[in-house]
Amino acid sequence: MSSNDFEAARGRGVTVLIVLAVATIVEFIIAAAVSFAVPAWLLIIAVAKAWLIVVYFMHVAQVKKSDHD
Amino acid sequence: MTDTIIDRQEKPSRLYINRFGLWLFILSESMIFLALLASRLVLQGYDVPEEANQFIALAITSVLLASSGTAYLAEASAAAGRSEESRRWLGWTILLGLVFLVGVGFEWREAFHAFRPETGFGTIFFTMTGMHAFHVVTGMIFLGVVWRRTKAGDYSPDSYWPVEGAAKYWHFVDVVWVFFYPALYLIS
Repeated sequence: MSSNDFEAARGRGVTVLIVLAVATIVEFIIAAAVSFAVPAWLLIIAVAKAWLIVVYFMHVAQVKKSDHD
Repeated sequence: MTDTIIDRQEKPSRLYINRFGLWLFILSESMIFLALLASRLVLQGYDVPEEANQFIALAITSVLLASSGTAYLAEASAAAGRSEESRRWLGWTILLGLVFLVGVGFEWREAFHAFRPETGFGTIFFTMTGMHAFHVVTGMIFLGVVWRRTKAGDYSPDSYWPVEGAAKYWHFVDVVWVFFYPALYLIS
């Protein structure tokens, strides 16, 4: 991985982390302040957070590749 | 005829086998956590005792998310050949994992008095958090071994599968908590 690629990867990681943190705060606010369909909202946010981690942190698309990229 | 179909086909690389195998393992472990999640909802519905400490739960959730970030950076650093940086981020991941476990310990101390293990919610709570904490501990052991080997200079940008594997396992542990946290604390 070149230096530019590393900087891009680092930026991507930080962005995803910030989005995850905001989603967690939103989760907490929904649980505290919303009274309608709370489980549904929490499930949607949890699935979104899991998707972000699986795609951007776990690189699920890499499983088809035979080399490091 | 010596030229067989198998000879003509490209054999899967070691890295592909490792990655595929790890994902299969993660999938199988997910079944355990899915079963625990299902039992939480079936046995206790959406009930959350008032004594559940929301502050500690939010704090340890944030710590675990942060540790996922540091694990990501450790893997990216290894891919870029930055061994020292990778080792530092692995160290941070282990430290944050330890902070998470300490937080769980504090929560258990309170929870033991508020909803004892023999009660309905207590059974679910301690089983779910206990099973998850066990995976955090094994993840930390895995990361510790990789940290030591990174220090010994065992990895290169072309060969850092253990770093990748350890990071992926750690992210899986975080994904489990992404579902467990709202299911145990927020859903009511």
